[in-house]
Amino acid sequence: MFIYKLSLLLGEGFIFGILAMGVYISFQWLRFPDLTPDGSFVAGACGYSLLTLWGISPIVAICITFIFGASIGCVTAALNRFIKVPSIVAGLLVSAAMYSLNWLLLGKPNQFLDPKFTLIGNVVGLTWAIYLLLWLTFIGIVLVLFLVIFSNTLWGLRLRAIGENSLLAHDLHVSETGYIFGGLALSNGIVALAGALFSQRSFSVDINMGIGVTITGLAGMVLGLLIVQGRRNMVLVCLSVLLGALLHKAVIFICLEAGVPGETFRLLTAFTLILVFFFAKASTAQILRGLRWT
Amino acid sequence: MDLVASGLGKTFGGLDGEPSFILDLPTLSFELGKIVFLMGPNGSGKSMTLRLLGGEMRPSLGRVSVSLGDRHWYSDDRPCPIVRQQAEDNLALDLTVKENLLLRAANSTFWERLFPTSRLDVFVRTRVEKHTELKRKLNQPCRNLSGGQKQALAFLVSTGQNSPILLLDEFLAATDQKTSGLLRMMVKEYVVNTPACAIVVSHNISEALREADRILLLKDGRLINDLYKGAPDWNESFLIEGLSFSV
Repeated sequence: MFIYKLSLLLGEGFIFGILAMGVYISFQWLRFPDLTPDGSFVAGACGYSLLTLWGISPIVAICITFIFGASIGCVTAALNRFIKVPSIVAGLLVSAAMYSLNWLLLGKPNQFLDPKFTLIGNVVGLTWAIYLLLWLTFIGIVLVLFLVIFSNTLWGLRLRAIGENSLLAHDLHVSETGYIFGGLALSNGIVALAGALFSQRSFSVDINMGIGVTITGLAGMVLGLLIVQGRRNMVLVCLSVLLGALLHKAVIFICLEAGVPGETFRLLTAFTLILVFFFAKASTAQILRGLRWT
Repeated sequence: MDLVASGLGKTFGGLDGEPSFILDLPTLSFELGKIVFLMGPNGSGKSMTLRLLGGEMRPSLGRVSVSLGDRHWYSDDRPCPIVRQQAEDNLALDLTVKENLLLRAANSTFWERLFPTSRLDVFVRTRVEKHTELKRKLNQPCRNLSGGQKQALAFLVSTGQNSPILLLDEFLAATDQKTSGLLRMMVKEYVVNTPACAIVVSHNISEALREADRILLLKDGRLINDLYKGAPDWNESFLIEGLSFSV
């Protein structure tokens, strides 16, 4: 029983770790306070369940889900860059619109996902939990590797540089708009991927499951970046963002196991984050400094 | 080569439709291998002229064209690097010194773009060769550098692009004697070796008389004097008078 619960916890931690990496790209690399994950997370889950219902294989469906999430990120970027909607408002607008769009896509507010449509297939019990964990570990490693390699390519360096200092776009002769599109697409693609994986863990898709997802990802990211304490190694940073999300989920898991009522889990998320902000004021201010609000 | 700024003008609207600032320059041309100083009291339009020349801002009137051999282009199509007054504006502070240098490495192949750190080590080392402090801090984020070191790095990264035009906006303001001496020498070398034309905004009259080949005096958005080295008015008292605030 303990191993089963532990693997469930690790699985959930990994899913939210992947989510936190998406949030990390928009908040840290691009410095764009992107609230779109509230919409793109559910969109990932909805898209995945629909695609598998149409008979597309889970692996292909996950790849398409990533592209779907990326296109939602592009909509936010377009709102922000072309009609100058402030970044936060653009994210809110898109996530609000996605709520309805997801409902329309799904045709109903929630949908059961048949186990045979998941990556693991029709397995139950401890075997299922361990298979899921193995899949998630694999996806997590691939993602970390990709981000580590990408962040050190010229395009990755430019993305991080322009995100921090938009004047550099002029000096580097590249388009700031292009890099914001790319960054938000990558970020929301990863978030949608996390959404698709989450639906396979809970065997359901619910249009309300996206509420507060951004803040969960942010909590993971902030915890992770507090762990690395400003170290520069991208492998360490990515892994500790994963670990941060895992820790955050562990705290909530332990609280729930200790008998705290289940309804309070978002309250717990908020409390964890407030405590972190309270005890590490200086460091969290450093982490969230210089976000582009317009 | 010629950098020709044909009658640049820029108007900024104030309240009630009255323009708050008008920049109105005659056609100017600049040559390769020369250092031009742009001087004038505060608010005379020096930095703005630089931003128009560099293509960072679009003029309301006129255009900046560059001809190098048989190649011609407009500066708004292919902007040239500006070393800005605030050193922080030229750098990505969260990236390391090395990454900032790599960002501007010119003419890299696809593989060098994919793995810039592997092949371009030589490029980075040669750039910071003369600057021991930066060489030591190569793998530290720029945020940890002192103001003067940031200024020096800002200059180094901008020259990495080998642009035929180098625009410097009071870039020596925060550097110590030794560093500013080194950077001045590097400007001269860059101008001769690339070859390039350096346009420098400065308030330092003695430096201008020593380093410049030409001095442009601006006041209230207008060019009031265009001095070449060796001209009869090439002296300190004339410049002090030209730069005085009394109208």
